[in-house]
Amino acid sequence: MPTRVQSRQAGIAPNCFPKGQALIAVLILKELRAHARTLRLAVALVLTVALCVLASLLSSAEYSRSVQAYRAAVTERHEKMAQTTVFAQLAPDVIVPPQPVQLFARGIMGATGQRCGVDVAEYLIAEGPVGGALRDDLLHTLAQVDFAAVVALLLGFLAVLLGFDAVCGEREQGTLRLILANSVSRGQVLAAKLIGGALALWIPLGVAFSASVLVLEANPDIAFTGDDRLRLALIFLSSCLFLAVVFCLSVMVSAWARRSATALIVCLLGWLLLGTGYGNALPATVRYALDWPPWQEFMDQMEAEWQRHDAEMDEWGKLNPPPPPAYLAGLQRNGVRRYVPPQGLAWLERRAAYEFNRTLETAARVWRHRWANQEVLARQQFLVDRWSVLSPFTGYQTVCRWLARSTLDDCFEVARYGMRYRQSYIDYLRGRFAAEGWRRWFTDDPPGTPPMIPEPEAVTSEMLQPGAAYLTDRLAWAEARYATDRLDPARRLDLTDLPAVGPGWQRSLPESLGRALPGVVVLLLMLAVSIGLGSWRFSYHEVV
Amino acid sequence: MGPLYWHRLRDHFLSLRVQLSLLVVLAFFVLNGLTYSWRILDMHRADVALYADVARSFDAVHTVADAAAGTYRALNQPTGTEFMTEGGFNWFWGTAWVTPQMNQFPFFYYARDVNLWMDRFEVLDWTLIVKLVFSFLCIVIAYDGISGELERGTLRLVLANPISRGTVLMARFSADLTILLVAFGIGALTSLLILTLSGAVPLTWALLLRCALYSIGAAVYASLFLLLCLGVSAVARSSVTSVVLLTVAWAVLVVVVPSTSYLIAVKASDLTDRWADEVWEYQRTTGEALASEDLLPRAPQVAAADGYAVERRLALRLQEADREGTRIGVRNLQRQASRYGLARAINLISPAFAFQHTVEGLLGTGATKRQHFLAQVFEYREAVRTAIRDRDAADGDSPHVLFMKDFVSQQPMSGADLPRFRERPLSPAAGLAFSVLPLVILVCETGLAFGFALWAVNRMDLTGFGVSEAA
Repeated sequence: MPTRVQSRQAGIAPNCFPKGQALIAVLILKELRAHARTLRLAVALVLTVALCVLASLLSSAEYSRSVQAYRAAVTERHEKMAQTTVFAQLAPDVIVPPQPVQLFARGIMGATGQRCGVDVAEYLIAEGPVGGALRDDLLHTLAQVDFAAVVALLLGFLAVLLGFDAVCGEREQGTLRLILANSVSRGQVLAAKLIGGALALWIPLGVAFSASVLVLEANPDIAFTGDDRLRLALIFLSSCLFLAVVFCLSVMVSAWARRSATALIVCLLGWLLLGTGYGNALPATVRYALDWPPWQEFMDQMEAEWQRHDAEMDEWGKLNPPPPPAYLAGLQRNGVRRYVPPQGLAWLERRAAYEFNRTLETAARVWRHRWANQEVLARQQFLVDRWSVLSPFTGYQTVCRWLARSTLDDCFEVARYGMRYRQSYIDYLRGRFAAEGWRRWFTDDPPGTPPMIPEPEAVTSEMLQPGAAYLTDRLAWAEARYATDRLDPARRLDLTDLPAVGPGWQRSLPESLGRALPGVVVLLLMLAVSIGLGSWRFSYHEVV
Repeated sequence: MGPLYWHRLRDHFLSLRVQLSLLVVLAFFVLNGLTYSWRILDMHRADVALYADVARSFDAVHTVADAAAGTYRALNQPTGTEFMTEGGFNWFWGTAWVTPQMNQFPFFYYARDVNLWMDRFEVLDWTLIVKLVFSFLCIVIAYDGISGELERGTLRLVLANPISRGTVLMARFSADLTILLVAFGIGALTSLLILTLSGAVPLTWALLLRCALYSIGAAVYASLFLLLCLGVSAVARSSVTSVVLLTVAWAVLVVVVPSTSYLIAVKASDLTDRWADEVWEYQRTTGEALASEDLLPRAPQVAAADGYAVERRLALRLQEADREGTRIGVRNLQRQASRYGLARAINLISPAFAFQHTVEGLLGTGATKRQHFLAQVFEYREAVRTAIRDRDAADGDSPHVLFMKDFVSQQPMSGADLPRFRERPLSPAAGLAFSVLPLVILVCETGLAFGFALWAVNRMDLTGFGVSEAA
């Protein structure tokens, strides 16, 4: 018969043998209470909540700055577009707002707004962050913490510390045989341990998660949509799964080890290797094991393509010689030509039409070179994302990133939208120019504007030398005219039917779930294997 | 103390935890050797194209006017000890394009290939291994240094002998430190072997001296954690409590404190995200202002007629703009550095970063190397300007309107006459100066840990050792 002291230690009231299913509930409660009273849970709870709240407060402040930067960028774009008068200078960039869910798993997007430059002459593989966060090479060397990192580190640690002596500790203390002396199967005992421990871990997780969400909700700049809340719930569920996996793995080690000291060493070293070790070794190895072509190679290729483009334009210039300089003379201010005589304008329009198509082709070729050069760099991060599933710590963080849409692939998703938008913008331009002619590409003169040189056939080349009296006089006329013309609203571009930026620039929830699925499946497999191996060992465990 | 020391050492060599820890350390160092040899060999290959690019701008110079209009590239050099401590060399700006022309601020950028698409990770240098892995292994090896013996009851037997508690502590500590240093030594030699055999790093006496200095720093850092572990082990009386407290302390000191520094530095600083744009904006608005005043260079023949009056006025205004622009740009660079300095100061609380900054200073790398490089870029620009100015002054026909292409000497000049940028490494004295503060902090923290351990061991109550409480 167990003594009162030992029974109390086992958490079971003496002389009490409840039947069947109720016993497992008692066991679960017993495990939960035992864990809840430990120092490690209390310390981990306090530390996790404190760090999560601190990280949330500071991230919230940083997010407000991101939102301000985003709003400023949108306003600036709007103003610039309103003041642009020629299409060659129009930059209808796609600017997308920051996503608050990314504060829980930063990834590469880092909860900042993103800008895709839309330009006829160039298109990039990935967009850049609004606010130029990339500019600081010093700050980049500092670690940035988010909710997923805190959970993976602190609560993952706690899971290891709760689980390592779950079986062998009780066996060493002698209380395991007391429990098994009851009419309860070994499977039920182990199940109670696993469930009780998992519940004990989910308490600090729940508290930290709620605290983070509350802190973020308190910020008026942060507005979670329904989709965001769903993603947050999924992130919380992934965190629960992750903690259960780590706990079950350490209970498995505990079941297999003979002494709790050995179990502790194996669990701690396992945490070190799988957590911090794998988390840094994988990217470091992938980064330097894969050879990438030097950036200079792409710069040289780009240079060569643009030289080829210039040569093609020269070829065209030979086949379509320009009219004499007098027909092309006009006022050139800020890259816009004005007051050019009609014959010169006609030639410039033909040239613009040809150059537009050549520029598109050159941009496409440059893009292919750029992708060939940078594809390896993207592949390095894709490989890291894919192989992160091997360790529950990194696999969990990647799942959170997929759910928060902050992986590199999500970054490229925005860029792909930018490219589609660019294509629609180019089609729009073609439509406009087919209807109105190409003059709006390079000049904002309405048809019928008097040219600077009214009778070009009468002008000699000496009259057009810099400093010559005729030219100075005409330039003065042009400047005076421009002083009034620049305020003419008819010169503004009519952009009312410019394609609008719509939805479709980020993945939907089913698509994100599809991407996160391999990571979740591997976590579930690890859970199943650890429970299986642990219970198999526990079933023929010698308790004596 | 001798027999205690040897006894503990022998116990360690026979124990599973030390054998496993040795394997773990070896695995990390092998990875370190491999990744750095790949990286250094790649860097050598890429540097060929890089130097060709640098040389190209000098090859295009044929006259003094070409020199005045050219853009020249400055490039930094690795210290050769990146595998020991990266010091941010893979991230910090390492190249700059300078031009002698006025009102053109140097453009700084990453020198060698960086992958801006990868989530941030810690480079696997020796410093990471020592910071994270070794401190953790200190816990694994020493968490039950005192409490384990207490639980087994053998501590009383040892202390029944006429030796002081301090001696017991020092014997434990020395044995544990020996194990860790042996592990570090084996790992470091393995890494050096891989690096040398692959041809990435040439083995010289200077390098070995640096490795020795590094080992001393690592020994101090390991001592700190070992003493902390032994102290907590004595205070906690139970191994389980001890390991919990130690792992929490480790998590706070090594991971939690440094991860808050980024957010605090960004919040506390008033530097906006577009700080780097201020100088470009200034240059642009100045250029527009000059254009609107019609202060633009004219055709040389026209300008010669009135003795280049407009051009001289323009040159004066550009000189003022250059001074002001440089002042703005340098001030912003300094503000960027002080924001980072705030994060660095917070990091220094953690002994892991005190150690890192100490070795960075000793090896002449880190943020100080970057600042030194930035300062040298501005000196280089002045040197290029002086060279062109002197050549221009020697030509009597030149209008001497510096540094406008059409208004300086048209005499022949080759790229070989221009100075090339050579980064001067940080002098040992300067490096030492930068490592003094972190080293002092590290040594003080170690001293505190020593005092704590001594106090804990001396106040331990060995009587009435009863039931161990579940922690």
